Amino acid sequence: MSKKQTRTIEVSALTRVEGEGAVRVVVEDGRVCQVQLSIYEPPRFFEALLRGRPLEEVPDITARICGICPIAYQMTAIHALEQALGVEITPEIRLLRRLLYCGEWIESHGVHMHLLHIPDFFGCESSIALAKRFPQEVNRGLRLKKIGNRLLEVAGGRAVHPINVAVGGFYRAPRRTDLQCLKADFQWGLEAAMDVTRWVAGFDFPDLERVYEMVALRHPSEYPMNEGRLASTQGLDIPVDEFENYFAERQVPHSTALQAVRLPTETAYSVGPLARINLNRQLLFPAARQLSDELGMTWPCFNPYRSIVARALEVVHAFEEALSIIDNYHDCAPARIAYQPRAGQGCWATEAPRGMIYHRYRISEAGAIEFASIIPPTSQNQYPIELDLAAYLPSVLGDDDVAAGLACERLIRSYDPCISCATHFLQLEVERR
Amino acid sequence: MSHSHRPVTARLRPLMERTLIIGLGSPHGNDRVGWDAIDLLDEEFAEEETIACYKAAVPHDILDWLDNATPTHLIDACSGPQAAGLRLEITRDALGGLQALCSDADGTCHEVVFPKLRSTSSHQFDLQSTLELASALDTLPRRLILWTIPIPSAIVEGKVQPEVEQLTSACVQRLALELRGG
Repeated sequence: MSKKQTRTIEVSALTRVEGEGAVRVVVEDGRVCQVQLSIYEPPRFFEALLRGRPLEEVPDITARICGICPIAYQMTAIHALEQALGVEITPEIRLLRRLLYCGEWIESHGVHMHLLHIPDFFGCESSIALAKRFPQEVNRGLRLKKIGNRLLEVAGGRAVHPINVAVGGFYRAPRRTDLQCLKADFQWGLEAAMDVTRWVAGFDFPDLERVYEMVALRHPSEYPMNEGRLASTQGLDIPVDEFENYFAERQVPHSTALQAVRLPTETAYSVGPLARINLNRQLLFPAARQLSDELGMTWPCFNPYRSIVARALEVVHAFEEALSIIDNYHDCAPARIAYQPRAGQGCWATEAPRGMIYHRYRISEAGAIEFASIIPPTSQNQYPIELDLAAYLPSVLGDDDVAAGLACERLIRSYDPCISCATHFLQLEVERR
Repeated sequence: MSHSHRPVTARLRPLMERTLIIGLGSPHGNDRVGWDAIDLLDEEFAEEETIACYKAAVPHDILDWLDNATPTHLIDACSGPQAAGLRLEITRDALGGLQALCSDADGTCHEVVFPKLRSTSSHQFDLQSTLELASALDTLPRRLILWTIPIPSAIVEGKVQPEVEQLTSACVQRLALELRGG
């Protein structure tokens, strides 16, 4: 009887992703038999933390879930609460909210591409090495990030956990003059974003096509950010309030984060920029749409490595849309719609930079949170990441464990996972001579 | 936040050189001390047009403001067995890497091997990587000081502990005195 040959590939700490995670792969007789993406940051307990808190505190608390995409958490919460309260916002408030999303997409995509993902395509171990080879390109990326942050400051009150957003609208609407001051930077940003897109579209992409279900919002007349129905590349088309009939979270023993599955099949699905563009490419703003045609890519695209192109196209779109909103913006009054607290339940989905995010809240008569459910994009992508790894790994099993581990990391980074944005602090070791 | 910090008196000389001060932090418990320090410094230097103070939620945000001409002070929480309130003067070494000269709160100086300054950031693009990137892009300030505020642990969603508040005030006083030439 022949003996089984077992090989275990472990990456004990994923680098260049947001948060703490690890991957473990077990290979038996040359066959991948187990892939586990482990999240070992402690659970954040935000859903429990929200219970009993006044609904007005929800935007500030949910913003703290993620330091890179606070807007998505705040806005999804606010829209869900407004649904529960029966609040109807004005078209001007709605546009300002889209402007905030533009800022967040620009900033988040810019950071991921230039600091975390592009180094992979040049064999650079970090963006520091990338900066030595391509200083102009990295500087360009950092300037794009800075412009995104500036928009968040002007419209959101500050770039760090924006404080200006509220149930019903904004505490203070930005002045037209404040937004007009951003135009020159945004015009530069649009051209720069197009250059970035052409650059990344020319990268060497590993060949990995897995035709699985991709899910995103879809809207009849705009590229989806904070409104729409839930749609998928396999024909799903449902209102958001049916989310929990079609999707569920599951506990897995190897991770503190829940994994999401499609119901009733319990199969994987993915969210993110590639899902959004696959489902809504025709609604990109004109320059982004034309660029997506010129790149020579086949749409819809199911190669996760090419998600960087989708991100780059979304940065182009965000700059175009932001300029359009700024050009047509007149001081927004009222900045906020009044409401009376009442018992109720509401749910909503918006598109965070990393993908669709879903919230549901139940409110008491006095306006306190009785129940909260928050499903972030990264937990929805954990299962497809594991399946992608299982599909891709046979092609790199001939490499040593270090090279195979690096290949795993590259694939995971394509998803731009935001495992958690918890605390950061320096672990200081001082050698005293 | 209650604190015992009192603004440094105006008897010291006014500031002439443009200076940047950035506090790194988050809303989570002890980890917010970098931001609290900025609030105190905003109050301290409210009349000084040459001082620019910013709060950063993630280390790479400091790249928005760094330039190689403007003296810069960074403030961040730190933990570890040897954690203490330190002032680290960070420069480029002959090979283009980073090195640091550090001093304790009582002014005792030590040489520090910069690679020992590890970050356990939950964002892999940590402060050291950020500074190395700035160095690679030639935006590392010619004068860069890192002030560390020791914290026992980063308590998620808790409050800043009173003893940590006092350490923040002490750090702010040291920094303010240095800027005033005291």
